[in-house]
Amino acid sequence: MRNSNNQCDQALERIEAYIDGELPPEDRNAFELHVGSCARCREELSYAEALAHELRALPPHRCPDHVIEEAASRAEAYAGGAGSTASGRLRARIGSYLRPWPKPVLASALIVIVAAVLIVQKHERLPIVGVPEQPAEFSPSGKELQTARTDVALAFAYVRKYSARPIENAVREHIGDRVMRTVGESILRPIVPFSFRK
Amino acid sequence: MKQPFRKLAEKYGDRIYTFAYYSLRSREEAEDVTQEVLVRLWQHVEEIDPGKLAAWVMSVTRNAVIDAARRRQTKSAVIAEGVSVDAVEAVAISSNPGADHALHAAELRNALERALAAIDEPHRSIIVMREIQGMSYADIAHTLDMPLASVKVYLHRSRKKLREMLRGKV
Repeated sequence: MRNSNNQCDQALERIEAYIDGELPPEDRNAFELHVGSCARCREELSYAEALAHELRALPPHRCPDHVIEEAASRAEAYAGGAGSTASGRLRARIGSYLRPWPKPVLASALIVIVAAVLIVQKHERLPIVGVPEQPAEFSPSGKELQTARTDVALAFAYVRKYSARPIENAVREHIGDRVMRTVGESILRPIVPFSFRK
Repeated sequence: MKQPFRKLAEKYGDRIYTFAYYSLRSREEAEDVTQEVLVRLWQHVEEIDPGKLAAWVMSVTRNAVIDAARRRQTKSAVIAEGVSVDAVEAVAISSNPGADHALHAAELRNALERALAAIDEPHRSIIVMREIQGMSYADIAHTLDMPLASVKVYLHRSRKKLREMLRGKV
């Protein structure tokens, strides 16, 4: 009984390798011999084969044309609109957020905002123009720092593996200038060896 | 500019979209991921060794998918509704020559897709790359930066996991 269980366990462990034709001839013969005499393992093999077959029959999907069109527009904005500069990237990013909103919605929102500003100005006589802006203090949260560290590690891995670009450029792209300005060195130091820094 | 981009997009678009679709099981999110990866591909294509381009694309796609799944935070909840009993029956039926395959094909596909989207990493990536996209073990190993033997072990475990997931709902 114990012997039969051991044989079943062994056969069940080898089902996938058997389906993929990766068992050496001796093991393959032993597997087929056991499955030929064990209804439970035969049933399991049949189920595994049917599932593997159905899995392979799942169709690849075609990328919709509009996705390629939209990506082409974004890529064009990147290439033509000083895409390698921060302002170009910012424009592209802002554009990508605005695109999903229909124009009437944007127009209505703008009208509401302008109307609200005018009403406030009229009733409270607040000096809207000319108020000096206070520089915003930026201190990244622990989560932002953790994300930045992960991104730096990923960027470093990519740059080392796929290209000879300076690490700093890749890092900036991944974690953004704000975090980089504030905590750049403290993030880079433990992850990126000195020789890889710009 | 559009022509070279289109050529690249046509070469890799389907591959990216298929992987993203089966991983996220959402057309909308798969479209977002595809668009993001295509733009990044265009931005970096000149810096990447042409021999490593396909692996780079799949690697970036996989990371984009993981980010998308993290954003919606439902990665582990996808299977919560459970795989339908019909699907398991359909697997059994599909090995029965007398059964009506067409009747159950959609249900089976649906269940498989749900199970795939719910399986953990790197099992899901490996099973999608190998079984649906037909990538070689060597290409998968290169993409995921892991030994070839590990890819095979993960693949076998993935199919075993799928068997258990589908069977457990009977």
